[in-house]
Amino acid sequence: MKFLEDSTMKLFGLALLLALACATASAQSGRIETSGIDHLASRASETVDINMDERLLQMSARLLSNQDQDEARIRELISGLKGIYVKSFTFDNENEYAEADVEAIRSQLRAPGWSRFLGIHSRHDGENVEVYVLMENNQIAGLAILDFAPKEFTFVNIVGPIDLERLSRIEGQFGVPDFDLVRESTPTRRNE
Amino acid sequence: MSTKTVLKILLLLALLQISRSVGAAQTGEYNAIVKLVENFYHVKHKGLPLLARAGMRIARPNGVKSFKLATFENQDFSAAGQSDFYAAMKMTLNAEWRPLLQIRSRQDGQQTYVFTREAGDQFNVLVVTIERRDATVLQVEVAPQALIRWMQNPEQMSRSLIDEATNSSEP
Repeated sequence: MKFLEDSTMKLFGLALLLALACATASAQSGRIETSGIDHLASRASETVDINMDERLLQMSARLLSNQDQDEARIRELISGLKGIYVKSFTFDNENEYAEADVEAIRSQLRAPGWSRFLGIHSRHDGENVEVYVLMENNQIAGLAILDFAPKEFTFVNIVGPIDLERLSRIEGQFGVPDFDLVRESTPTRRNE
Repeated sequence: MSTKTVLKILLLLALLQISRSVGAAQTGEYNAIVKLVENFYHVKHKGLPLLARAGMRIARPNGVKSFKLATFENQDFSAAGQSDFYAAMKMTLNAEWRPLLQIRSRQDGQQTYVFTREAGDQFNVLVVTIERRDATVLQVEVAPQALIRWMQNPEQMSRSLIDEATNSSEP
């Protein structure tokens, strides 16, 4: 019986270590798990879900021409990116999502490596925008934008080397909403 | 006949069989999705007349190599749940197909689903749009340049491609 208890404890410990290792690996990869907010689709009047993974981005980028100016520009824009993921819900009424739904995402952004870069709260329309960056070896390895208002919930996750300048060029395309974050994060704007 | 020749013939036959299976699989999944729409919503798709198909080959949208199209017109698509249909579609397609875009609007009953799959140095793109009274299933083979343009504005590109395909298929 003692042997059985010991073995069970060892197995439990191993499983715990494995789970922790997986969680750390996921945090380091820059990809945020969003299945925790999928249930909002049933309450939303409109749902948008965009998945561009590394294989899709890099294979299409690799096959783009260097000669064509436009193709070269797009190639440069998405080179190195490992994924662009967008989930957006629009609701007819307020209070259709709970604080726990925001927390399902936010809690992952407290993992080592991630830090909150920007937070904007508008008292006028109740909109909150939070921008998080993942640093690896002094370089940005991922970016997450959490944008929630009384009737809207949007989460954008870009995996790979991305800074605000590059983000501003991606905004409005590849399914990424136009947050105008470069303007929002400039001191002049913040002091307005 | 020498052993070498027999081996060559066998190899050729094997290659022929592989290419036929790949072709069948590509058409098979498109057909399976058309069937799924029919069974899920209890509707029937409209076959394209021969002349329209010939017209489609000539008036192919930019960057599109080949396409298959099934339209469902003036039928009722309001019966079943949107999320159930998406789940059924994911079950029907094999793992090679990756979801690129999913838009669901409860207000106007509109659903748009886009899946992609690598096909050598090209991509297969499957677009399914469902509205209250109409639906379209479109599978295209596109060059990476066209796919990138698609990814730059997936929602608009999907709609315009469906529009182009359905317009060019009208006799």
